[in-house]
Amino acid sequence: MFFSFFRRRRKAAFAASNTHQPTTPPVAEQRTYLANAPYLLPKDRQEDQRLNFQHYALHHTFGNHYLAPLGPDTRTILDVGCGTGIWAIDMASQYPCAQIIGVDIALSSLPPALPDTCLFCQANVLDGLPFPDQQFDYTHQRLLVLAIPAPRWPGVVQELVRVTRPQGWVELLEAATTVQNAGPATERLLAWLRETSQAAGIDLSMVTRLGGLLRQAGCQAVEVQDIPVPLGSWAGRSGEMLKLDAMRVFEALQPRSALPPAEFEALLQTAVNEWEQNHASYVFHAAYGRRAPL
Amino acid sequence: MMGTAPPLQLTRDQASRLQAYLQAYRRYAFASLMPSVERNTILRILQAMQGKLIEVMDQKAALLQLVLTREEMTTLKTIITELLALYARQPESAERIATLGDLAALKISLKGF
Repeated sequence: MFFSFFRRRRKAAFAASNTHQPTTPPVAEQRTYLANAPYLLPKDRQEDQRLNFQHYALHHTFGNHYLAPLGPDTRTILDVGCGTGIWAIDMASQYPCAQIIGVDIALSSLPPALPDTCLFCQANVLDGLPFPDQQFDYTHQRLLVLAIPAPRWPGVVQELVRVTRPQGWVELLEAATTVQNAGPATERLLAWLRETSQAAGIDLSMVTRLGGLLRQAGCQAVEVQDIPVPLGSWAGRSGEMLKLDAMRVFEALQPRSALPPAEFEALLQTAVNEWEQNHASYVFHAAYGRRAPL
Repeated sequence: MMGTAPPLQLTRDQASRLQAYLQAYRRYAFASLMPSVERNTILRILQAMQGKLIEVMDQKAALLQLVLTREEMTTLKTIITELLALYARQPESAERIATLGDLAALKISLKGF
């Protein structure tokens, strides 16, 4: 079928995803990783649950699903690396008149019921986006640093800007290895994460260059912000949710560690204790800007 | 249904400065205030206000009309008061005084709304 790579609504009883907010992320079991992509995290049901949990944690922390100052007339939205589709689905509730397209390397994580205004398309941003130039009012990409090899970042951002209309917004949100008030166990975990990523061709420091990449790709009015978010129960619900999410990320990466699982688990637990004792914060790196007018 | 305040009439320069103040407050809140329902509500309102303001600024007219809801107007007044207090704590400089003067003028001009 000509449009077989698109997946649209199965309308039955769609409800805004907020009604199914999970209270805890899933616990670990046997994990599945993508074989055909440089993606360090698993691609399985547990990871889908974690991504949904993370989505709510971020919304609870930032108070919105996006940071760019979108106008009320936003009509076309693209989400690159849409994962479970939850961001697109929630944006459909917020922008009921907008057409929203989600793109991901695999669409197996989408829920069965999707809003009429959401469309999903299987594509790898590393191979280019399958859209003509200047189609979207707003292009969004978040938390893909573990999937994009360092030399590919400028091309990826260029691609996001290419499909965004002049004066449309492009937004990037990432997090990597910046933890404020980290203790020695946390530093050891983060150093391990940097080395593991580097061995896979991924440079986590790219997250500090998002603004420059947007400018280089032709964006104006670029706003760059590092946003510290509390990590741990010491900071209430947001901190608790983000702590659980961070723990699940490290657990998902554990099979890539040379440490025995029990030792890795002990290191992680020590780090978590540090987050609570030191009142640690995890730093998100955000950048958004407008494509220059023609 | 949320009511609207009378439209704000802004020159292009005033609109740019208002946009910068809204952004400055968002930057400050994200960097310095713990996440809370109150903080996030203010941030959402400011973000929506910025979106409207930027759409108005995209028009070619010399005098711009910004239509805000009453909730947005109340939030705007609140954050201007907070920005005044924030800038007042900064080290003395010509820039600080100019910003304080500008914010104070903005605060007074919003009194009728």
